[in-house]
Amino acid sequence: MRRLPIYFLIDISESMVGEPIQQVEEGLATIIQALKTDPHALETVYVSIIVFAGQPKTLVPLQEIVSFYPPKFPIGSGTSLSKGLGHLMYELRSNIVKTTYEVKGDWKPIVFLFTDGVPTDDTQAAISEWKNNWQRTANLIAVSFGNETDTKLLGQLTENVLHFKNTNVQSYKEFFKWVTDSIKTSSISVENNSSGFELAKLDGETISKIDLTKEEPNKQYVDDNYVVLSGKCQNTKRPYLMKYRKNIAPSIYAGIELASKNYKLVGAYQVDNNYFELADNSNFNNKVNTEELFGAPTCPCCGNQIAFAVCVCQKIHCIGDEQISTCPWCNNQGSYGYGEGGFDVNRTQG
Amino acid sequence: MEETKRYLQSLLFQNKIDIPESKQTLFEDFINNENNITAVKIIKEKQRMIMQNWNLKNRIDDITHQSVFLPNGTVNKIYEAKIDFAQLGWIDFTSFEIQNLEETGLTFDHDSKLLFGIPIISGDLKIKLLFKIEGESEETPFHEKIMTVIVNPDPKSLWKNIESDRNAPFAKDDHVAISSTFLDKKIVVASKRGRSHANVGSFREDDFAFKNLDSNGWSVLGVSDGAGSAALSRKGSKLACDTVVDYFEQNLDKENLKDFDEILLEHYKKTDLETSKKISHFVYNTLLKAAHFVNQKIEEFAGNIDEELKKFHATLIFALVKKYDFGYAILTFGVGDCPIGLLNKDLTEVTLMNFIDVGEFGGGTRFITMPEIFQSEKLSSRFGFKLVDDFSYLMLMTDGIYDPKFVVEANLEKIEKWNEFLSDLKGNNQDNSKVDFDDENGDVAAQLSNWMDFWSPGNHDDRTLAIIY
Ligand SMILES: [Zn+2]
Ligand SMILES: [Zn+2]
Repeated sequence: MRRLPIYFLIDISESMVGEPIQQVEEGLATIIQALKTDPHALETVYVSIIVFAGQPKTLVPLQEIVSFYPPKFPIGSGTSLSKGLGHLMYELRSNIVKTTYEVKGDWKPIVFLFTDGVPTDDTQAAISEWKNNWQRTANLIAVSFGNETDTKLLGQLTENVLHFKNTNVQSYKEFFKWVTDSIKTSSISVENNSSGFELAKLDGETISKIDLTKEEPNKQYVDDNYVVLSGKCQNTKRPYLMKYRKNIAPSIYAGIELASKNYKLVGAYQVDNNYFELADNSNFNNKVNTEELFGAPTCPCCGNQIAFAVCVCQKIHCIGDEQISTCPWCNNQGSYGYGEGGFDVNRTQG
Repeated sequence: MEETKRYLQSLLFQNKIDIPESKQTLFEDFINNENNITAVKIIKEKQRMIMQNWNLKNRIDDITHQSVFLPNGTVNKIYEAKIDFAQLGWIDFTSFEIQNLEETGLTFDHDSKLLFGIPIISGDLKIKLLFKIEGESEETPFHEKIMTVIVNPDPKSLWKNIESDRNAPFAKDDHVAISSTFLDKKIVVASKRGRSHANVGSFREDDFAFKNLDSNGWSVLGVSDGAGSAALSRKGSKLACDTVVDYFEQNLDKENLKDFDEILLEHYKKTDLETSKKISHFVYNTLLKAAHFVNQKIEEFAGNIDEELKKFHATLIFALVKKYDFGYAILTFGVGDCPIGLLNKDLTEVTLMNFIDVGEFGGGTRFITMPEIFQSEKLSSRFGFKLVDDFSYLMLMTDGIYDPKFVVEANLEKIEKWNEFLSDLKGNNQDNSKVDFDDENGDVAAQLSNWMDFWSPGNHDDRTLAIIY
């Protein structure tokens, strides 16, 4: 039997924290569930999930869908597309079977790349390796989540660059249905001796193809669409993230233009310790001024009123009513007062 | 007493109240006050309780969010999974039970913590674990944790069998099975629509044709596999087989054949380079013309009805066989991934009569409808010739049989694999489905057709198998 290998290469940088990653998590589970109702897919599709933030990781090694169990997605710091691609190519090299005299080869593998941001590292080497060694042997579909992905860059990987408007739960559902349909059609078309890949019909509303000739390149190494701050809970010692989304509309109040750029709180989320494992090790020093941030969350781990206390070590943790707080990062003890005005805090790479 | 003192001291200190020397006695009295002692005691207790409650809450939250992996099951297949409490760290459970198993076909054994049974419904079953942990009182209600057991559908149940449209152009039967004579031997052929086509009500794309050409003593058999991606391949494959039979019927001219009969006799008596060359020459010329003719005919047909040639893509293998006093001459040609196997009389040797076209990844085969095959340097490898005293089986098959039964090209060269295949045909299979190759068996076609219904996951192509025996 020939396998049809499907790879999902998924960006799990901080900006995906909260609803997006939850939707991806549920979405993939739905994809597999739906594929199981299709007899072709059930018998031929093999799935692998690779995630990347600052570091890449194989979350689900290539396996048939009957043994697939939906994984919990971690969140990491940074968006190292080059490491993600490198890891993908490593997995393809080690798993894809070519037809030889003695071995039954696979169908041409299909890769879905989901990313919502701008790579935080230099991707040229990985992209040329992809072009030279894999562009013809695998079908890659790059899907940009949200508005400000570097689509020019994705366009170097594949001509299939799609834009997904992740506006609400329903659009996620439609999106994952589209992915499922694409896999279903291709699990038939490969069987029918064609080596091409057919995408399901695009509705143009939720998912649309990007005209690569029009987009301007985006060359920044910090994802500017979101500000994500990482903290640690004083009570539980667990990491959490606070996510702020850039305000798109200019905020004019009583005829006075406020700060040209500001970020509004989306929410605070508990993350597990994988966060550190998947983070970029290099030391980044990106600051954001608290004046630009609107809204302060409570601690998502213990419910403490203030999740946004900054220790002398520059790191963020939660505080409650206690007189003396202990910083869970550096164990420094001290008491906190409310700061006046804005101050700079470290933000993550996104 | 010490405790009360320390507590009150720090309370006052935290409220920025200092106790001067002059007030020490007053403070001593204060801490000895029964009310205060009790109050501190109560505060301490309440704090302990708060801490404990927090720890419990935290622990329960951890358990509810903990991911528990349960192996996947399949409908109608025995399922068994142990929920390993120790490994999950659930050593602080004081009581628990499992719910939501009704109508799933699964049962949970409380003592062995075994989840088992035969699943009767597919889907992501949400199983509820109710639990209480140490430190909680009797009256505390159970906490809930949802665990997922994924039950896969039985793949067989998902395939539909929709009849093809009898009124569509070039409609053909979904199944054909036939037996007859071939030279002085028997032939049985069955051709069956694959599950992938049955599932959507499309046509069988395989085809075959054979004929005993009485006028010149030759018999010819062709088998073709229409390309799935080609819309009219059902016609392409039929044209390929019919045309090759027609060609030999009309074009094997007697003069030429007489020469060939002589060369063969010469070759039989004394095999040398000279006779081998002459044979190669004849095989090459005669069969190439036939193959080329097929290519031309299909192109012509497509042109006449104003359709693209590629819509008719089909592979083609054929064998031309003649019986002589000294044995059988077998001439073959093949384009595509369908093998021709010749098994010797005592089943100790197999000769693979053709070269198989397979791509690096799946689906890279070649078709008789591609003009470029006649220009390729591989062309000469498409021809086969063998002169044998006798043989037990000559088999032509499409990849619908070859893929599930031989899997890879290398196996086609192995006599053990062919013997396994024969033993399978003779009833050594899951369904006890049997083909009786006795000369007198009038049921052989139905038996072969029946045998061809074998189940093989991932292999749902059309199946065609022709056996001369
Ligand atoms: Zn906290
Ligand atoms: Zn600190």
